[in-house]
Order: sequence, then C-alpha cells, then structure tokens
Amino acid sequence: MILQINFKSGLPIYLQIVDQISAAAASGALRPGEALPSIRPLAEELRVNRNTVAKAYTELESQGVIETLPGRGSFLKENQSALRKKVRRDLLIEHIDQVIVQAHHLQVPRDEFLDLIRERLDVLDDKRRAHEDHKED
Amino acid sequence: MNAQRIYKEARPLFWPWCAVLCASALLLLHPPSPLGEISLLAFVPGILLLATLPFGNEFQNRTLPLLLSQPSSRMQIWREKLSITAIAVFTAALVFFSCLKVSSVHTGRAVAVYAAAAAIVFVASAPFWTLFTRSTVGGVVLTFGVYTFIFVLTGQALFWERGYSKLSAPTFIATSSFVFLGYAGLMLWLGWRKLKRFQAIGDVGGDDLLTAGPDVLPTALVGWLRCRPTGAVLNLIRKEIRLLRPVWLISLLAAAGWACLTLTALVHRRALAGNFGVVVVGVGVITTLMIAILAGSLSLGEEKTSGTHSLHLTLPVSARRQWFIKLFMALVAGFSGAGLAPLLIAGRLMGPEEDMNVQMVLLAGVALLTIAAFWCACAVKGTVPAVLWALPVIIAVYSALRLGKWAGPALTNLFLSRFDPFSNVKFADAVSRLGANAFFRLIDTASNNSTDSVQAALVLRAIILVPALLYAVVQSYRLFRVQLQDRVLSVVRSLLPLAVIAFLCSFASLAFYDFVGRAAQEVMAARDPRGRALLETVLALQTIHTGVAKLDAAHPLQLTVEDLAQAFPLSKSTRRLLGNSHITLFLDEPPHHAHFGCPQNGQPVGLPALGYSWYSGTIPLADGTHFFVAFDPATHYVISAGICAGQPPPLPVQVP
Amino acid sequence: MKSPTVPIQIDNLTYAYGRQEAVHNLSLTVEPGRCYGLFGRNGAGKTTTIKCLLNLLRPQSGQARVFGLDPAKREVEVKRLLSYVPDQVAFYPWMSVRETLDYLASFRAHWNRQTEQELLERFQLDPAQRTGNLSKGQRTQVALVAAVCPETDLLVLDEPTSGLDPIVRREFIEAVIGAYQQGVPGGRTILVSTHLISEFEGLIDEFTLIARGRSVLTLEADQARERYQKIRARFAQPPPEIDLKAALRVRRDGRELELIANGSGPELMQRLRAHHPDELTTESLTLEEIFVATLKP
Repeated sequence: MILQINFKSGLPIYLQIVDQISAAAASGALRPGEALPSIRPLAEELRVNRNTVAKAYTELESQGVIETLPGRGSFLKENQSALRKKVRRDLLIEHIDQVIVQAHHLQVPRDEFLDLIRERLDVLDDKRRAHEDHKED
Repeated sequence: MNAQRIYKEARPLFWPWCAVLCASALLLLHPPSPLGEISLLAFVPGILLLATLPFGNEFQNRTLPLLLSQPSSRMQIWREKLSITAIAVFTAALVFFSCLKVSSVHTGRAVAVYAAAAAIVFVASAPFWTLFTRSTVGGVVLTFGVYTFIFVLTGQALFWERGYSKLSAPTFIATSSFVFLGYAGLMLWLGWRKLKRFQAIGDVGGDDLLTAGPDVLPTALVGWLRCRPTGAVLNLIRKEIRLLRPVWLISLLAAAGWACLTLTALVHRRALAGNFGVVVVGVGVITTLMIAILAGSLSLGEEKTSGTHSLHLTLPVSARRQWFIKLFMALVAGFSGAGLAPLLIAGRLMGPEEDMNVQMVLLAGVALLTIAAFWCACAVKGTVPAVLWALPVIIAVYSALRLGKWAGPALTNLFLSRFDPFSNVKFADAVSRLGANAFFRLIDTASNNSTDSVQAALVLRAIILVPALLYAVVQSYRLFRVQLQDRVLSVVRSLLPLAVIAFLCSFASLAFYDFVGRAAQEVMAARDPRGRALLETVLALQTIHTGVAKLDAAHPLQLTVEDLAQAFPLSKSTRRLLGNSHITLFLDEPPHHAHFGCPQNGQPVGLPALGYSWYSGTIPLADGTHFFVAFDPATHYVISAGICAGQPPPLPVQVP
Repeated sequence: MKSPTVPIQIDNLTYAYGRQEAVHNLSLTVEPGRCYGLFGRNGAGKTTTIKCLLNLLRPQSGQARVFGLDPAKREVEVKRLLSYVPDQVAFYPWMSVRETLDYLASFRAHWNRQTEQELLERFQLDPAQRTGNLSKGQRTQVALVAAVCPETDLLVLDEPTSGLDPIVRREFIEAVIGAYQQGVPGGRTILVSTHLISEFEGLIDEFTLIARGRSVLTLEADQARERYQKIRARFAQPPPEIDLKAALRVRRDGRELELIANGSGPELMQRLRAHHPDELTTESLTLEEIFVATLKP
C-alpha cells in the first residue's frame, strides 16, 4: 500500500494517514484481516515522525477501522462494526461538511455537486468490482 | 607582483621578523646581560620560522588549493614566495650580524659560520621540507634537523681529516661553503619539483604530520594503543600518546643525536673542544627548547584546529579531567623528550659539580617551557600560534620578575629615606628579627656570588615564581574550557594578571628583604656607636665608588671625610670618630688577602672565601682602630664591612 | 528512563559576542517525546542557543535548563542525558570507524551494540576504514551512529544535513526515525536546528522561528500548516482595489492575484469572492514556505 503525504493540504499529517488508510479500506485495496505496515517502516518511508504514525494508528483503532494485536501488528477489521457505527457516521458527516464548504469556495453549484458525488460513487463501485473480478481469476 | 600580493605574502612573516630584529637589538645591550645570550639562541629559530612560514601558513589555513587554483603559474608562486622569504631572512640576518659585530658578545668562528650558513640553507631547504610534511611544524623540525646533521657531520669529517689544531679558517670555510651551497642548491631544485608536482589530495591541512611517517610500532604496542569501549580515562591517555607522536619521534631523533655526540666525545676528548663544542651545545639547547615547547602545545593545538576539542567539550566527561590528563601528558612528554635524553646521555660529558647545577637548570627550564607552551595552547587556537606565543609569554613574565627585583629595593630605599622609621631602635630590632628565616638566608646565599649561589638563585627564582605558576595553571584550566576569540588583545589580557602576580611576588620578597636588612643594619649600628659610623661610612662609599672607573692596587682612590660627607649626610658622632682620616679604596685580590676582614682575625665567621678580586677600603679612625669595607666590583654591593682593632694593614703597593 | 521535568526549558536567554547580540530574550519549551525544530537564517542564533544548552557558552542573562538541570553547574550530568551531532563533524583522522565508536562508547554508561551494528550495515560503512578517508556524508553518519547508540532521552542535531547529498540526507532522517525514536512515545525527544526545512517537514511536531536572535514565531507544525494558506485568484478583468491588508504578502500579476494568509484565510476568501473571480484556489504552506514568507525582507 502506497501512502502519500501532502504538506500543502492543510490537513494534519496523522489525519491524512487515517484518511488514506480508510480510503484504501473502503475501496478494497486493503482487505479485512490484512496486515497494515508496521509503524517504524511506514514512518521511515514517509519520513514522518513515528509518533504521528502511532497517533494515526491509535485514531484508526478508536474508529474501529483496525485492531492491534500486541506482538503481531495491526490488522484491518471486518467492515461491519455496529458498536462504532455512530462514530463512523459522525466522522463522515464531518468530512461531508468540509467537502461542501470546499465546493462552495470553488463555486460548484448544488446540482453539479450532487452529480459529481454520484459519479465518484460509481467510479468506486467499478473499482471494487474490478478488484473482485481480478481475485476470481 | 602587485602590492596586495606582496602584503599577503609578507603579513605572516611580520611578527617573527620583528622578533629577530628585537633579538638583534638585545645584543647591543651594554653591559652584556644574559639576554644577549638568549638573543643568539633566538636567531636560529627565528629565521627558521621566517623560512617555513610562507608555505606553512598555506597548510595551516588550508588555502593551498585556493592558491594553486588562481590564474598564475606555479613558477610565479614559487618565485614570489622565495623572494619574500629571501628578503625577510637576509635583512634580518644583516641586522643581526652587524649588531653582533658591534656588540661586546663573544662568539667563535664556528658559531658565526653556523648562523650565517643557516640563513642561506634555511631559505633554500625550508620550502621542500614544508611541502614534504605538509605542515609548518614538520617543516621546522626537518629543516633544522637535517641542516644540523649535515653541519655536525661536516665538522666532524673536517676534524678527523685535518685534526682540530691544524684546522685553518680558510679551509674550513671553503669546505663548508661547498657542502652547504651544494645542499642548498639541491633542496631548491627538489622544492621546485615538489611544488610543480603537488597534488592537493585529501585534507590539505596539518593533519598529515599526525598520520605521516612509518608505522614502526610493534603490534603489541599498537594493540594497547587502540581505544577500547570502556575505560574513558585510559582512552583519553591513549589518545594523548597518539597525538604526541611527533614529539616522541623528534625526541628519539634527538636522543640518537646526543648518543652519537657522547660517543664521539668519549672516543676523542678534544672533538668537542672550543667553538665547535659551543655550536653543539647551542644546537642541543635549541633542540631541548623546541621539544619542550612542542610537547606543551602540540596536543591541544592540533585538537583545536581539527575541531575535536569542541567535540570533547560536548562529551559527558568533566573538562577538568580532560585538562589534567592533557597537562600531565604534556609534562611527561616534555621531561622524557627534552630532559631525560640530555641528562642521561650527555650528562657524562660534564664534571660532577657542574652536573647538579646543569641538571637542575635543565629540569626547571623544561618544566617551565612546557607549562608556558601549554598555557599558550589554551589561550590561542592552533599549534603554530601557541609555539610563537611561548617565548614572548616567558619573556614577559621574566621581565615582570626583574622589574619587581629592581622596584622592591628602590621603593624601600625611597620609603626609608623619607620616613626613617628605624630611628626607633625597638621597632628596628623587632623588624630585624623577622629576618631569621630560611627564605632570607636563601636570598643571602643567592646574592653573594659563591659556588652555591647559582643553585640558590635558581631555587629562589623558582620559589618566587610559584604563585605565578599556580595562577597560570588555574588560568589554563579556565581558558581550556572556553571557546575563545582568537585575538592578540585577549591573550595579552590573560597574560596581564600573570605578569602582575610575578611582579608583586618578586617586588614583595625583595622589598621586604631589603627592609629587614636595613633594620638589621640599624640595630647593629645602634648597639655599637661605632656601628652607626660604620654604616654611614659604608653607604657613603657605596654611593661614591659606584661612579668610579676601575681601580687597582697601583691606582687606589684617596678620599677625605669631606668627600664622604658630600656623598652621604654624616652625623656628628660619625664625624668625630672619623676625624681627619684618609680613606683608601683599591682593588684587592687573592691570595693577598686570602680572607678579607680584620688582619688579626682569621677567616671571619660566616663569610665565604672569595675566588676573585674585590674592592677593599680601609678607613683609619681617630682612636687607632680602623674600618674595613669590601665591595663586589661587578654589582657594587657590599660583601662585608667591619671594625678592626689596630692600624690598617699596609697596602700592597706604596702610595706616592 | 523518564524524567519528571521537560527536556529543554529556555527562559529569556541572552547571549552577546562582545557587543553583538546573538540571542536576545529567547524563550522556548520542548515537551518530552516531541521533535522540536529551531529554524532560522544563517547567523540567526540557532547554534548559539544550542551551545548554551551544552555549556559551551555561558548566557549573559536568562537561563537554559536541560531536564531541569543547569548545564553550567551540572555539566557532566547534562551531557550524559543528551547526545549531540554538531554541524562540523571532526574526528581523529588516524582512528578507524570502529575505534572512533569504541572511543566514544567509553564515555557512556550504556551503548546499544545491536543498533550500532544495524546502522553500520544500513549506511554501508566499513568499520576498518579510517575516518580521515571518509567523505563528509559518511563522517556525519558515524556521528549519528555515535549519537543514537547511547540511547539518551534527548538528541540535539545542529545543522546535521547541510552539505550532504540528497540520498544521504534521506538516509539520515530515516535513521533518526527508525533507530532513535524507540519505545514509549513520550521517551525520546529531538531538537533539530536547521535551515533545510523541507527534509524535516514530516518529522517536526513544533517549531520556533528565530530571526536576529529573537523568536519570531512558535507554533505546532499542524497548526501552522492549517493557518498559513496560499490563496490564488484569477479574474476576468484586472480587479479594482481590494482591501487585502489582512494578508501577509500579496503578489499581483495582471489578472492574477496570489496572497499568503496568516490565519485570516476565510476572511480574505470572502472578500475575493465578492469580486467574482474566475478561479479561486487555496492550499496550505509547507513549513519551508512559512519560513520564507515570514523571514524574507
């Protein structure tokens, strides 16, 4: 899994990691039960403070996206997690709000915006389907 | 060659050039003082530095690659540097030799030849050796060493060839000129070749001396010298030993040289006679000086230039421990390198009585030089600046001592003549009792010119120097741990308290000694009414005879009481006692008065037998007794004075 | 070994070389476990500050404390608690890498041999090679090994990567992250003084910008990146005068406008939007751009 940190995005680094891992989980690039890269090599690769990566992993764990087994590393959890559903909903609302503000800044009108969202969802579905097809081959 | 280039080349040579000129000026001092001998010794190292600095400086500042990358051919660089060197050295040598001719200092032919040839040979060979070793220190050592080796070899060869007594001046000069000019020419050619082919590999700095040279150590020793992961103190010592490697190498070479000389002297007693021997001794002294100064300043100087000193200040080791280990190892290196070899090997050349004195002087001198060089290394950044500062620092402290020695009695004199506190006899008695201690007895011994006095003078100087030395040691620790602004002013500022302390110690000791001495004189004068008369007579004579030209037995000085009264206010009782006496002052010598004092007494108690002439004065008194006085002709101090019964003894020659 | 006090506490530090003030009334605090950046131009006073921490210089006023200890009074203890990589690395040229590391290890009570071995392999350093024959980058690597192996709680880096090639620079930072930052998150603290900020961008948690001996800006890195924004706007016609006083810097080029905002981003965006630009984008500044924007005259 290749992560990229963008220092110009204005987002705290740990949040970027969280977002990218969440996105990878959502798109299927990372499968449930799969191991995440350990903190040290990831930090070295991204040239980012180890504490930051640790913080990202802690955040992911509190969101219920991953689970850490001592001595063995961090793994992606199953997609369903009823206990954390509300938390995840809230997080998504936050993100959606941000995107809405951005769209306003960029002067994208409401209808166009909604069309865009549908378009992106379709693209994601296609990607997931492509992954699964590839797995079956 | 434009003015800016000339200035840039000449700038580093300026201070050594001035130093040589000052040394030459010292030769002109009249009467000849020991400083004149120092200046002779300072000439050779002075022009040695002048010859090596042009290239050595480039290595010190790591600017050689910069110089070689400028748009001028290497031949031009070579010519520029050589011409500046030649001008500096030859003008300095000219001044020096003219001063030498004019002054009253005696030197033999061999010494003059050595110095003159040195000027030419150094200019020619220093560039090669400096380029070879890539450092100033290496250049200095090898230029001096190889030249001395060739000189001694030539001298020995000529001796064996012709026999010393038949060695005629023209032959000596011709042969040696041939040898030296040949060597100079060879070195010039080699030096030019070296510059032409010079490649600026690696760090073109002073490191190479520390890594150059064959690794001739046996594997066991190498194993011990490797640093281990535990034991920080031992590691520091190992590191010091390694840093001082040049000193060990030079000491070994010097020891080999001493061994050869001793062997030659043992085989043929007369090989080192006369002026040739003087040259050899001079060279030996210079070598000892260089080794001692190098031992003190090399390790810290190199560490400061290479940056490892700053590294050590950030390690979890106390600075005091590091400083102490450095000082300790510097002293070890100084003593073993500069002290042991001459002592053990060449000591055989001296007789037993001189042995003790020379040994003491040598050891004390080595210790002093090493500590002074170490202090300089703490105060400035770099080995070469530290070495250059060592002698001025020592001269400054020595001058402070001498100033104190002069100022002390002068001030006491002034004080006593103004206030005269000794008219109260009880006070004078109390003060005079303070003189009954070992320190004052030491000063007595040191100033009375006997066989023990040289040793006593040394011990005295050592004792007076102790506070200044302690302060210097403490100050060196403070300077060690500070990151300094390398400026002349800061060194002078650090030097000032040191000089002041030396001055105060010398001043206080001698002023007090004088004070107590005068008190004792007053007490003696008070006890015996004739004693006061004697005291005043002696003081009067001292004032008179100091200004008088040389006397001898055939030309005595006749004085009347009036002459005395003019020189010194005489009291009424003294005048009464003296009456109309005629005072005679003449040069006396053994064995006429093999002792001196009253002819009826034998050897006066407490006075040593003199081995040389002195001024004798006899003052007949109205009641038939007489005073005698004895003065030292050189220093004009009173050796002894006393009251004798009976008439004065007859003069050696009748007065017309 | 955790200490109850902060690793570095500097209060009103003042130091002058003669009459020239190098550091003036500088105050900063480094919390445990953080990576703190000291940024500034050449000659701003960064190295002077660090030297005051190591008792290489004594401040004229104010105080510096390392783990609550005064470097001037408890010098050896302070040096035991930290390790230092200087800007000019100097070793004895005749010593091999192995011997240099052994020598430096003899001053430390604790030395992790395994880390040393790993780092030497990673940097591909030959232990038998003399340090005099190493390149500048390799010498810096040896200095880093010597600083990481004692496993101290504080690592002080003074311009560690200046003069090194880009690959060595990356390896250096990776080694710091990998080998030094171990154990409990609050355990290891780093203080970096540098002007090559882009390299350390990801590593820094908090930083102070120093200019002419004074602290100009102290922020957490994430906050800084959030606050400083570069706003670009393009209009159909050259826009009339807009009140852009709230911006840190403004650059006009015909119909285009580029602003650097310090916290007032949304407000400026609103004002620009009032003039209906064709295009309006915003992005954050990297730490290096913040450095240039703040300190460029």
